Amino acid sequence: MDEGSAALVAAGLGKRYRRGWALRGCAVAVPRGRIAALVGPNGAGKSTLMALATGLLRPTEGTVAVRGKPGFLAQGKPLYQGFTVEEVLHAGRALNPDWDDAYARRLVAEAEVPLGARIRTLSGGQRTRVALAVALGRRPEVLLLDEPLADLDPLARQEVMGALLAEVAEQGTTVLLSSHVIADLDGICDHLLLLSGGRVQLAGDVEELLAEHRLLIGPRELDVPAAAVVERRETGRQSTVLVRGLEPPDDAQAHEPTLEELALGYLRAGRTSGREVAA
Amino acid sequence: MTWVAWRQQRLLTLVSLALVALVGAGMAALWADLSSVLPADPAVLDERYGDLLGYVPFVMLAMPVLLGMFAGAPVFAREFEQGTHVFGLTQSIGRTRWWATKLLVAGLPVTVAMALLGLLNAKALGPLSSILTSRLQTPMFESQGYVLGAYTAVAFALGATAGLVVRSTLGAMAITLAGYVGVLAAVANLGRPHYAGTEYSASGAVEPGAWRVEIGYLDAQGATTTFAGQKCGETPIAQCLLDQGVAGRFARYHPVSQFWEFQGAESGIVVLVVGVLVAVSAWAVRRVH
Repeated sequence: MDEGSAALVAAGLGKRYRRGWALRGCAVAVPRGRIAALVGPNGAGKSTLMALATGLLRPTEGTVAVRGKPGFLAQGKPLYQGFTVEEVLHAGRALNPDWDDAYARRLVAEAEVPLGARIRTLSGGQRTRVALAVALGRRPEVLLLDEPLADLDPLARQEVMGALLAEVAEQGTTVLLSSHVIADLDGICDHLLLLSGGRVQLAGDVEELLAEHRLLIGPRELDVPAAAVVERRETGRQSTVLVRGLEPPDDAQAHEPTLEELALGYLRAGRTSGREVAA
Repeated sequence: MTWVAWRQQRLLTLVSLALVALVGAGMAALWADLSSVLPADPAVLDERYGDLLGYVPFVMLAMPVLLGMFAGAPVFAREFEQGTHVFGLTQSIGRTRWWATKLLVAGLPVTVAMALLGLLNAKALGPLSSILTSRLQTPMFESQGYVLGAYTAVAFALGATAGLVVRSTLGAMAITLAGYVGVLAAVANLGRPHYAGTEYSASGAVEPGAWRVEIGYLDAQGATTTFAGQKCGETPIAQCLLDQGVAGRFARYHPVSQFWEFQGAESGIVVLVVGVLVAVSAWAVRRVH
């Protein structure tokens, strides 16, 4: 990938806490204008990568750079609980000289959140919309969202994602969005970054990645070249094999994996090697 | 950032200032009452104000640490507890400005208010210096003058810095209480006796309101000697003194006129401690994530 056009670049990035390495040897390049999914199990290093990218954390080794004005929505969407929505917008204006107040207010109005309501009285969906309005109010060029959908019901997830996508599509904003619920990201993200055990397991354009892979379902004795196997599972008399860059053999059914099937295949396969890194 | 810091601390600051104003109103009433009876004999003052002086200085000793615990400790600790420091630290304004603004907006009003209360107390309590303990001694010394502001600043800095390091309001409150008592005891015992030279009294008697730091015995030649009271047995004390060669007494003391010199010296030392705490806080904020 051409790193020159990337909006988020990391090279040899590592972060060690007292308990061990949370992230190591991480190379990332998210192309400009993409909506990138940062996927991985709990403790994979997603939040660490986000915090390093925003400058909240300093890397133990390597480098990370956001090219363009950053915007960040932290995990748990922290907002001052005692503030009203109006006051949160005031805070956004006070803390950011490049604040677009009309835009942030429009986003809050579209979410139908009353300006006089205190943050602690809002529903999870409303709180997320306000937090998103504050993150977007800076008119960021690179938007980092750490588990923005974590505590939302399915309807609220859809609404939040809909509002987000409408805004970033219009602005051409690069988005890095982390989630451990992969189904939420299918059809939305066009770039994938799969973390496991503190390492990048898979990265690239979603369509290309899906096209390169096949999910084979065949008899137990199905013979597949080991080099092409990402992950193989056997259930009863049947084998399910995720392969990369391989013409499907005749004795197997093959189909292009969904994003979730692809990601889960890599995550299961990465588990053993992941443990070694985390230890 | 000033607006955000003020909005966050608003309630605590207003409650703190109301408390200081309430105590200030009481002290103003005392000052007015005192002015109506002055000049008066110490015995009259003792009769009229003795009970009050039993607890007013302890209220003044407690106020800085209460403000440190309730207004200082939450400044950063509450941000960590609610995760909102991540919000503050990922906006356009820098980390140093976030930290410095929060510290100033929360700390300055209570410190100034308490320094003003201290100046009022110096008027209201100063003339009462002779009746209980000297106004140079704990707890009368810390109860009045701008040193009250300095002690408030140190309690606030303790609370804020502890909150930044331990990231828990309750933990920071406990550290504030322990640290404040430590600073108070250390400064009063190790520092205060040395702020100014002592006066010498060859008779052992000192002027009213003075702080006597040393008393001893003199022999016939005027040299210092010792007296062992336990050896006297049945002998009357006057005879016993003569038997042991004691011809007189002496005292060393700080006259009450050194009060403002003491205030300056002690405030300087306490402000130095505040400086150290702020430096620790500045180091700690760089590690925050």
